[in-house]
Amino acid sequence: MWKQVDKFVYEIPLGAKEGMRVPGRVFASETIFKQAEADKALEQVVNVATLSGILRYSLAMPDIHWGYGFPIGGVAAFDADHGVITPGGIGFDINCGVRLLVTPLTEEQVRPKLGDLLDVLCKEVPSGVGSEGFIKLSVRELDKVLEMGAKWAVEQGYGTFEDLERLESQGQLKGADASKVSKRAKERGLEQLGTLGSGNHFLEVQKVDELFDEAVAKEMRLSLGQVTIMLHTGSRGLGHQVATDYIDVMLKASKKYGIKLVDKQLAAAPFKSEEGQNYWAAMQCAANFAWANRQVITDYIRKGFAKVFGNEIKDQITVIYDVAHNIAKLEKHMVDGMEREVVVHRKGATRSFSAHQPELPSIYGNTGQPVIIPGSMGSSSFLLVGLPGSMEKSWGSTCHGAGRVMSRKEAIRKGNYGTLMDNLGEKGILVRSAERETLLEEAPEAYKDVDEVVHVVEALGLNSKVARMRPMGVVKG
Amino acid sequence: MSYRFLDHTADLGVEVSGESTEELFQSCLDALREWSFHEVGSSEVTHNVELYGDTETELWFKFLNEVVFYMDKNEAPLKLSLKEYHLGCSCYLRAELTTAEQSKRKQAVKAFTLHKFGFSAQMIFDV
Repeated sequence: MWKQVDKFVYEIPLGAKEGMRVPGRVFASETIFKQAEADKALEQVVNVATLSGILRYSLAMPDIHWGYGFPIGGVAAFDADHGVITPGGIGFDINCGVRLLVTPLTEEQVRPKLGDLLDVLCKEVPSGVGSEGFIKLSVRELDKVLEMGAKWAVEQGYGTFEDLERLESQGQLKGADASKVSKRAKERGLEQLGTLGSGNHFLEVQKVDELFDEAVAKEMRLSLGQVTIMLHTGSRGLGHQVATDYIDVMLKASKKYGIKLVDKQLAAAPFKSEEGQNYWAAMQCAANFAWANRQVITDYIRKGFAKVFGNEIKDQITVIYDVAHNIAKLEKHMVDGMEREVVVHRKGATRSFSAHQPELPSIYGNTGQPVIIPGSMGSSSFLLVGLPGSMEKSWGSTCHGAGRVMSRKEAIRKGNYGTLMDNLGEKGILVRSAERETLLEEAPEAYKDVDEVVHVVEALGLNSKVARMRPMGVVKG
Repeated sequence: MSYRFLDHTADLGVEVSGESTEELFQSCLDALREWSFHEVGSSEVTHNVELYGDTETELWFKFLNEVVFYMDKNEAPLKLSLKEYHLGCSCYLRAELTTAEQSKRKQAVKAFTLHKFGFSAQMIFDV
């Protein structure tokens, strides 16, 4: 049961399922909505609407697809005093996110050395299933990473303090408390700092092939034909273990506080309860680990470029921005004309603050927050900025990527490795990957059309486009 | 083969079968091994696993995440041997989990989720 309330807004009304506290709203084109209907994503939008303290709507962005607990692309805000926090609204890969770097190089300069560059990056950035990093941390040092995030990495010489200004939350959530992270989670994190991982994580060398807003692009030091680097990874095994540990805690908490669950993966605790606050502190640790991870990898990328293009290039590779797309944040938003603290859950969704929001760094105060939207392996990625529409309609949130339409198994079943490589080769895209199956899983056909996803958020006034980047080379774990 | 993979847009679904609880979860191990590993190492190690939970669901949620933890160390799950298993107001299991060290992985499983997790049974009545 649903109704279309606007060209790109579909609503699932209260009463569609017993226990709904708010309606569900899906931002989608007709094609995307039909895709969401075909899997179980809409059922998950409805499930989220049953959680205590949810405000306004259970939302889904246009990259919506079936996940666990929340759908991917799910956004929900909960009253900080009376609402819940749930790991099912954040995901296992806490602070999985994307970072965009810009180089002073052009495609003409990079193309002749692209193969060498990808080989060097493969060596410099440990990737693949079970990859271990070059950094071996003691538990004491890991605790510092968990509480300091990217700042720890910069203090150790991985990157510059200027980088920090260009990260969401400056790459450090201040409520992190390493004592709330289990011994096992720490064990999993000890050797994984500075690793890309596997699955849909990647490192991509791209070129800017279209500018939509030259003035904003200029402020972001971006020009046509310039080579950029996009990095997608998260908190690795440490984050997965934090989520696992606290789902168990939340199951007990749900029972203790009488929270009725329509899906056990939505196990939750009141945000202000002891269980809620412990998870909140541990989740921030995992988020900080992810920011430190992307910061260390940024340093490895700079070193890799220096090996191919000379040492002077290292200091000329700058960060445009870094966004988290699996996270919960305590933010101030307007609710019924009053400013209130709410816990915004973004699962496969990106923060998208408009200009003049206090949390934005001064460099982006007038432009709005940069939002990085990676496409699928063979397609474009976008750099957007947040608009006031996202503050009004989606708790300052937007999509996080193209969003899958095909299961991993189906992608492997239907795909052909030779054809995939030929197609990518025809587009001038070089690929380095340890696993054939991973590449097939991530084939462009397995994803929605990113142009359509971006068109929806733009038409709804959540974002405006700044630039489009096309891939030249991909390193996949 | 007593498992089959189910399509799930983002993740991996598995349906398993077995004639006992031990067999059921042995099938899980077999499915995880097939999905995640190219090659199984020759050196076996046995882990003693002891778990408590409020419910049967919680107990097996913990067990499967224990398996994922060892898989993250490149240990392929081989065999489950259930030594003690009590269900009631407090649930308990003690088991030996045999894994193969230094196995070569092809796919990562981040965690076991509770989404759609449940047990079902099939039976025939003489009518």
